[in-house]
Amino acid sequence: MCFTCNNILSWIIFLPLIGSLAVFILPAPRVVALISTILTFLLSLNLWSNFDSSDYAYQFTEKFDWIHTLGINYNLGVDGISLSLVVLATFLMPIIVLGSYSISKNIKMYLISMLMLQTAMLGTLLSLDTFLFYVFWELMLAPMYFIIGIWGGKRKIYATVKFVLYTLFGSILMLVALIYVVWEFYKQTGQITFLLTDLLQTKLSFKEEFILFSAFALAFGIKVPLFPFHTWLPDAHVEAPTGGSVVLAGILLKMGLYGFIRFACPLFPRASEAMTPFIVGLAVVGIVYGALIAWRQVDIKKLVAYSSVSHLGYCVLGLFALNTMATTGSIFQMLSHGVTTGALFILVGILYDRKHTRLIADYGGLASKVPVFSFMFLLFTLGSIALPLTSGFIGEFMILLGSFKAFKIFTVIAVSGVVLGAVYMLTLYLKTIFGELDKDRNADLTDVNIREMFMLIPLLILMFFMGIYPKPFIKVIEPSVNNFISLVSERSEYLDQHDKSARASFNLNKALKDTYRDSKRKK
Amino acid sequence: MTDFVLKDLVAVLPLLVLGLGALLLILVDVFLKKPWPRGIFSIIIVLTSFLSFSYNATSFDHNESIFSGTMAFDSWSLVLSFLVLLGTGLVFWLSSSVTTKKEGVRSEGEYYALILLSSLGAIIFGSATEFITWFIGLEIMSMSLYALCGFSISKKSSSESSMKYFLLGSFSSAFLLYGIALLYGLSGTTSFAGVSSALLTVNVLSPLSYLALGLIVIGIVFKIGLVPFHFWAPDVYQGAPTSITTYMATVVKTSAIFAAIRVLWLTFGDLSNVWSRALWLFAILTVVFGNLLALRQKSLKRMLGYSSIAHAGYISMALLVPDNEVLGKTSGAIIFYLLIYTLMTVGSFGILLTQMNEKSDNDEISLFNGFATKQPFLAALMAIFMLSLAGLPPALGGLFGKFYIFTSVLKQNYIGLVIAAVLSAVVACYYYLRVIVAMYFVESDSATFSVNANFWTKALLTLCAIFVILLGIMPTWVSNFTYLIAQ
Repeated sequence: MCFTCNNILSWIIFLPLIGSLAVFILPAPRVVALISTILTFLLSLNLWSNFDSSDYAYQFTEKFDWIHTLGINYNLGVDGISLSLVVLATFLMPIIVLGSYSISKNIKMYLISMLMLQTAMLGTLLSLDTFLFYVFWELMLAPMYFIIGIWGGKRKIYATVKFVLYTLFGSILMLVALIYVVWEFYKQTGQITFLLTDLLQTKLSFKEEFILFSAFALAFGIKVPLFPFHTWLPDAHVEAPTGGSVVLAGILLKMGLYGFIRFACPLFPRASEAMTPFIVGLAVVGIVYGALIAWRQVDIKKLVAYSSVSHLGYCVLGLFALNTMATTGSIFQMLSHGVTTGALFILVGILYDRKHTRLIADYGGLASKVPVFSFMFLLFTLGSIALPLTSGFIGEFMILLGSFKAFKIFTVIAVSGVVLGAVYMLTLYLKTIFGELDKDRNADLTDVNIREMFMLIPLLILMFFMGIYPKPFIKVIEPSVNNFISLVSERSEYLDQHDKSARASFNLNKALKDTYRDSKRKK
Repeated sequence: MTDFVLKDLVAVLPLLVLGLGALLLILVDVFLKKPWPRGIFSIIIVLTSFLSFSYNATSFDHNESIFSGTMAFDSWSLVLSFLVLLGTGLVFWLSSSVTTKKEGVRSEGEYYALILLSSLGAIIFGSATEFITWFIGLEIMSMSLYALCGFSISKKSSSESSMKYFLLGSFSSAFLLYGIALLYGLSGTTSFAGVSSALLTVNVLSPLSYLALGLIVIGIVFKIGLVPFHFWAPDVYQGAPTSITTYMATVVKTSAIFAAIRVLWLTFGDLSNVWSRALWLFAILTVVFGNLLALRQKSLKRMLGYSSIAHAGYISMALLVPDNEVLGKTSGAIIFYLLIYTLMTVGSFGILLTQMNEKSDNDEISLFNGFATKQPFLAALMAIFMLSLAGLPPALGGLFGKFYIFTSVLKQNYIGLVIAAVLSAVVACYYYLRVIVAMYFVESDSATFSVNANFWTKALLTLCAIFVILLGIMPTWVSNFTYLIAQ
């Protein structure tokens, strides 16, 4: 059965927006938001059930002119990769809305921001027009800015401004690069368009490709975040309210990786190939560095935040290995990370709601006082360190297996992150849960309540389901990943035909000088 | 012959309405001792002018010059008239519902009459095709403004602003006059067409013609307020009554941009290699320094003043890429930007205005601490205007404005300029977001917010916000509308 199948993607994107209007008008904002997010989730399940996983092409496409004179279209479509992320995003939202019961200040605005953020995220995932993508991409900023800024912790203003400026810095250069590609395409064909499928026919010289890819990679690398650009993430995570952290770790960070898959790599395949050692190197540094830093944290939330840096390093590693196994694993790991890290943030939030501290030193021996909480915490900790039977294991295993074929040394170093992951997570667990309940202030700690159970149980089920029976997910993701890999290599060959010269004797320094000279001559 | 003159008069009917309306307003004001609704009367004048404008726009052949070639009656002048009348109307709406009381404006009759006259000058300045008329238009516009800047007589800074603007404005007028004199000496005519053909027939441009062109460019750039000729702007903007600041940031800027288009593109288009380098330099300096200087401002009004300098910088980037039709890519971008910019500026200054009072000069950003909890509706509107000025969704209008400009400029391979502009746009986000930080993220320090934003003010601000968002979702409306006016 298929509801609204002709424009199901538009419904999925704009249902949260309608929901936010309803929240604004109707009383009982939480209930309204919950209904709207659950409806969106059901709609996305409906999308999944009608999705033909044997077909790798974009499905359920919608297209009409938005701004005719500039060739900007409202073009949506879904493939296995975006489908899985859409389902993740719609799945996490009702849980986040449930979590909003611990927020009392200006709840309507909180929910409206969340729902607008959901619209922006889903739009980003489903856009096939580069400009539409850019608009949705930027639209993710403002709601998150308010979520951290209004409901955040002590250093919220610093954190939120840093988050916005970092992200904006990358994305605005991406816009310039995008306009350049469109303009090149116009010069070659006389047709002005922002459609991704058209722009994939643009002929670019290797130098151009290199510079344009750098602009895109900066935008997406900041969002992931790759190693030297990651400093906004711990700040944002620590200051954000629980819901904000969940959505940040669960979905927003994946947008950077999704951007690489959908836009940067297919548009600039040769440059991405040339830059692969560099990016993967940064990812591996991020894996080890993130894990080491996480080990030394005193704040639980910051620890989980740094573990995100480490885990997303694996995703980048697998993505750039560009073989079916590793790239599928990378996307699977994105889903898995969204589930386990989201759950860990919820658990930290539960502690924080009760005791208003996140310092490891303030807890200890919780097992005797809050057994259910401790058990949940244990399961998600194990999921985070990728124990077999949990989703994390499948993802990391596929990534490491696949990328060992592509880069041996990097992968060997990356494996150390698995061990380190176990070290910091188990240390955290040891310090907070085991031992004597020696802090008096923890004596009145209450266990997980029904509402919180409703938030955690779905995540728990999904984590084990994905770990024990990953096939439904892999089945959807794999054909699209194969399509992505062949797209990249086809376009790489296509570009090689038109510009045979540069690649072998590529010299960055010279290329930059040449480009500079060219631009001066054209003027 | 009579037909000919009559046709000319009908073509300038909107201007006649403005001028005569202003005189009538003063006359009535002299005879009526009691206060009377001068604001509404002046809005009616603007509406009448707008009606005659729409009659002109729909019923005449365009591309004509009128009054023996001293003024153009073409698509450009029609679009300019529309933007000026829109800006004037919005400023009147703002003034009559809040300003005059809050800023100690005493002689209201003169206040409205001078604004009307200034708008008259603004339209003449942007549609003249002969240097003397051009200069007269500029002076009508500026002289009224010199006086208007000093209208809040209870504030010292207002008189300072008036004096500063007068001195520096006259100085720049002197530049223009000197340039015009040199051009007259070189070509023997003051008409734009005559000067340009005279300059082009000489094979090698004499140094004098470079000098003349340079002086004229400097004069225009001063009125637009580009760095390094911006020094007057922050002080003048801060000291002047807020509604006048709004007026200067919108109407005067629009008029100066159109004057620049007429002189640089339509008259000296063939000499673009001469002026484009200078303009490139001014544009890059403006976008970089305008935004950097705005960063450290404590006063919101001053910050918005610097931001308006930066926005003028974005628009002047587009001036580098001439095209000859109103509906060309670049001019479409400029018109869209000016329209959106007018709405955003009226909105943001309007909200600032609701929170000011006659007694104190306080317009610091910290004035807005905790604004969102006390005045959620106005705060939401302000947030929309700030996001739009920063070029962030969901207020898409500002984003599209910048996008259009960057697209048209990139086509001429001004890559360095665009990269400088987008990076300073990131810097700009910081200071626009500071306002949102103050309103939403900082608790109020027991500040009391005045609640007397009446229905009409709120209606005006809401309308501005709605159009900022709507024009962002459907930016083609603007080009369709421009098309409607221009054809």
